[in-house]
Amino acid sequence: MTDRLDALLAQPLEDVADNGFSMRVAAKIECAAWWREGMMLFAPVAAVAAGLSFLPGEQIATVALKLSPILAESGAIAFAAAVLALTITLEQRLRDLTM
Amino acid sequence: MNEGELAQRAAAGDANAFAALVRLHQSRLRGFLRRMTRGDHALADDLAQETFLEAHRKLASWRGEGSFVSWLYAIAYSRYLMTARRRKLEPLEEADVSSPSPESASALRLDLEKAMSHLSPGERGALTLCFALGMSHEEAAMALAIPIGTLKSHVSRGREKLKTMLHMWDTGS
Repeated sequence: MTDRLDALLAQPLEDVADNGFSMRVAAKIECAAWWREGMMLFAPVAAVAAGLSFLPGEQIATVALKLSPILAESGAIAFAAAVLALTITLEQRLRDLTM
Repeated sequence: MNEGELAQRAAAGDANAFAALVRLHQSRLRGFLRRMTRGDHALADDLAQETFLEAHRKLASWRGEGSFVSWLYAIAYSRYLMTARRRKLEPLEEADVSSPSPESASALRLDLEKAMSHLSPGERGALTLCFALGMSHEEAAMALAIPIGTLKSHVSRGREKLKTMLHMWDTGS
C-alpha cells in the first residue's frame, strides 16, 4: 500500500495548457508598469500644484515686480544668466553628440 | 540559458526573461494551486496570476538566495493561505471522507485528489511539493515557510492519512 501510495504521489501533476495565460500575465505586468510610471510622473506634479495653491501668489507677484527692474539693471546677474544659458546649451549639444 | 540566469536577467529588468520564466513555470504552478484550492481552477489561475505579478514586483529584492522555484512557490502558498483565510476555504478535514467512485476510469488518481482535499493545507502542500514536484525537503520547507522538522511531520502525517483513506475506500468500508 505504501509503495503504491508513494508511486501515486510521485506522479507529476497534470499538465495545464497555457491557453493565453502567459500573455495575460505579460499584459498585466505592462499595464502595472504603465500605471507606476504614470504615477511617478503625476505625483510630483500634483505635489507641486498642491504646494503652489498654498503660496501667497499676490505677495510673490508684488515682490517680483519690484525686483525685476533691479535685476534687469544688474550687470552681475545678467552675466550669471548668460553663463547659465551657455552651460545648458553646451550640455545639450554634448548629450546630442554622444547619443 | 538556465533558470537562475533567467531569473537574474529578469531581476535586472529583462521583460523577455521574465516572460520565459512564466512560460516555464505556469503549468506546474497552476497545477499546484489547483490541488491547493481543491480543484477550483478559476481561483487557482487567479492566484497564479497574482503570484507572477508579485514575483515580478519583488524580483529585484530576490538576491538568488535559495532556488527561484522555492521563492516563487513561497509567494504562491502565502497568497493561497491569505485567500483561504479570507474566503474561509479551510478546513474540510475530518468531514465527509467517504463516497469516492472506485470503479471509474483513472479512479486511483481521482481518489488521490479527493483524499488530498481532506488534508490540511500544510500536508497537501508538503506532499505535492516533495512528491509531485520533486522538491528537496529544504526547498519545500522554504516554499511553505516552515522548519524542515515541521515539513517532515506534515509529509508523514499526510501520507498516513492518505493511506488510511485510500485503504478504507479500497476495502469499500
